[in-house]
Amino acid sequence: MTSTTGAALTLDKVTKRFGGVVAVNDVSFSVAPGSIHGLIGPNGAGKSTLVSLISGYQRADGGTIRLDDVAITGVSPLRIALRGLARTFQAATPLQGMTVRENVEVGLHTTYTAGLARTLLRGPGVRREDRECRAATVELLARYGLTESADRLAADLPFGQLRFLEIARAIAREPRILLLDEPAAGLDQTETSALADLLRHVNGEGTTVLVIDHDVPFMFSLCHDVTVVNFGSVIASGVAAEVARDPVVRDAYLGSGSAGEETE
Amino acid sequence: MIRRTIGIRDASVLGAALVAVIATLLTGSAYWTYALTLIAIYAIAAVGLNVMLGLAGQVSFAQTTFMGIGGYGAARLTATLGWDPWWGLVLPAFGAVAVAVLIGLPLFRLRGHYFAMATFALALGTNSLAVGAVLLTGGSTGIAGVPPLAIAGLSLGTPQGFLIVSWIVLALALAVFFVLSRSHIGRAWRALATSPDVAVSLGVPVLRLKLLALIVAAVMGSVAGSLYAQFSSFVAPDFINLVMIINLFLIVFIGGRGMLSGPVLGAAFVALIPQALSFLGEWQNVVFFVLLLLFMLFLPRGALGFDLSWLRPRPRDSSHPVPERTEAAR
Amino acid sequence: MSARPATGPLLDVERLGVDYGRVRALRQVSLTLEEGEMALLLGTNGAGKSSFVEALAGLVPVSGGRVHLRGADITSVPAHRRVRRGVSLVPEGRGTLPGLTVAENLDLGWRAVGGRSRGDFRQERERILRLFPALEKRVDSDCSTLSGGEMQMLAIGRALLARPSLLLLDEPSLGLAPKAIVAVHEALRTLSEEGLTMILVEQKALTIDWTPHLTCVLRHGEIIMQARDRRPTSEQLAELYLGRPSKGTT
Repeated sequence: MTSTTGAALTLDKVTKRFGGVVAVNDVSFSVAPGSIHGLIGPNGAGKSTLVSLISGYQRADGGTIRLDDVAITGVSPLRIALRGLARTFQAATPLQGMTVRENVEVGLHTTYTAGLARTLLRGPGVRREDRECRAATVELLARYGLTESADRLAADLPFGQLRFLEIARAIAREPRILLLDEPAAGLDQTETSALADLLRHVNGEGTTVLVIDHDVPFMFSLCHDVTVVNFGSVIASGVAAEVARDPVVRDAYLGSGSAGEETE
Repeated sequence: MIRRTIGIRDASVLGAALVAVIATLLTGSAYWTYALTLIAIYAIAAVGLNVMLGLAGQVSFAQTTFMGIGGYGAARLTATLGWDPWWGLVLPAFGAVAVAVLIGLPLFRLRGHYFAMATFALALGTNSLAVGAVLLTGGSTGIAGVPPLAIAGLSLGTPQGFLIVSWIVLALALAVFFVLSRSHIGRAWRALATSPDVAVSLGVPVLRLKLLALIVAAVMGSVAGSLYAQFSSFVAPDFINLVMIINLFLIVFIGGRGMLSGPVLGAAFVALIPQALSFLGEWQNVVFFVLLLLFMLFLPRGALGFDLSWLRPRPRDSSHPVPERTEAAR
Repeated sequence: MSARPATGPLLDVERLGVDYGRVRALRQVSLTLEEGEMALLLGTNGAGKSSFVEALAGLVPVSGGRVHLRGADITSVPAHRRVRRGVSLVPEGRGTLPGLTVAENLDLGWRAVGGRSRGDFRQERERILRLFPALEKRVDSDCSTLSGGEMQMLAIGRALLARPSLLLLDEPSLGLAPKAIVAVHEALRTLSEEGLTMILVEQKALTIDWTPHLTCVLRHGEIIMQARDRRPTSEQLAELYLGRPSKGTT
């Protein structure tokens, strides 16, 4: 697989309101190109909304989101996807009635140039594109350990493998940045470990990775940089090791003790 | 809609159909020649609907509108203007494509069932138009004297001629369905049928693909309508009324949504079973309705595709099956 | 449904599992609680804490395991009947009903259990208002005008009216000012001292400044640490929640 140049993502004072509730409050942070960036926080709402805003499924009420130097605030999710942003969804969605192989092949849809006419005529051009798609799929399936299940219905996969399929499907077209919405939810320790290895590999190929998750130790061990969001506002952002030691972050998660500490 | 198992079922149905056509040509049975021609024409329109409903997962009631364009178009071009019947088959298809784009562009952008509702209104409106626009459509009396196709002066207007032509066109339509369903376009359609959001995230141009499906459906609907006009040698509003669109849905569901041979099996069912049920008189329609419900609920793969997957042992990843709960409830 | 001897634990949870569709929220969690004990359940969001108490209350279907209350298997007992068996949940977000006064909310809690006299109700109400003096002053106010802390007390009070043998609380300190958190926790300690068995779910571990009988930390739907009669240190908690800082990743 050829290397891609990872995209940079910048959020500048992004705000989103739902009725009277401010879900995202003046959020600013930068994802360095080629890095693995984590987004964590003690409560749910703000982070999920950010994912929707970045990928274009919802429109921000204020602020700018930039992919490299191009503003993508208010741009349709399809256009953002075509600019090189791939994402996974919280609910792992296997495409109904389609095999594991076919799911990955859909991920390669953008590699095709053939329209209706050329597809119907089955000329050498579209046949070549089919061959290339098939070959790329075989390689991806092997890398993600899905070769044996390739011709099973995706919906029949065990949950852990389904998560991996989702990622394989999303990165098939070699996107420049991959956005993952709680990829570790529902996975056990072993599967989470394998997931981390996988994401490091994806990042190694050049793709910028932005992960949102609740499993904090997983995030701190995987990510280069981490941004912490509490009640819709950024409370810390920077190199993972530093953010992990930041007392503000500790306080957000653990609260502050008024009593002294007891020894074991 | 498992691609692997289609092979046997489709082959059997299409094989049986081919045998039936050949046998009819050899034996010269007038009844079967007529019935099989009608089955083919319905099936062509149903293949179009199968692309929309079975592949792209879009509910569309616009098939009768496209059939109307094909039928009335053919009638006006040939009976009124005296053009060659081949133009009557081909030109209206362009009109149908134009209408498809006109309704698809604005309506496909809307979420939810707006497209389905709008096409339903379109179906009703088309029927009224056929009755009311007397100058265009000849009103309730319709247009008569629609000539059949001819090759090099030799008229194909015999019963056998119509039988052969209609099944050749059906074969073409099925070939188009077959190629498309296995192509990247077919995969993209099936993806957007599950989740347009996921499809979009993969860079699949959902809007364009929905339009493409509608265009394919429009062409097939129009061609079916033109053939119908030439076969009956006249058109009247009846052939595009609500019963027709309901029949098309029945054909697709009973034959097996998304399956290659579905329209053929379904059309045979819808054309032949009423004969068998005619002794029920008015209860025919009730029985039909019940049949449709049963098929939709228990036989998603149609009359010969019992969904036995619930008997298959689910892969055990040490969890017991639990009812679904939405993310919001977490 | 075998009867256990009277000295058996009040609550015995055996390898409990909860799935939301394909997502495994809780994996084979086991826990035992004696009568009168207080258990503290810690962990970050998504660890499975809410799923655990909701499963105990019967609000979510269980995908595996058993729940025994005083020796009786209540795993398939529906939620509304579990209340009558003595399991009462104070949900996350309190669940108080706006448009009704404090008194009316309490009344509802009473009616939910049913079958006892108004006299008993008045007694119980007095007991609760004594436990939460702040509520007493606001007894006839519409509960939507209450502060976060007052609403939390009302929610607990309402759950107490059911005379539970097991009180479950899902993040009562969520969104509360520090003073309110202290007040609520104090009330809970009083109840615990009076012998009420309870499971307290909290995320902010360090706001607990006393030692519960049982402390558990959840992560990924599993218990990763369980301690009896001792408190984990802040360092231990920080490590369990935030992990060990990574060594040179960039």
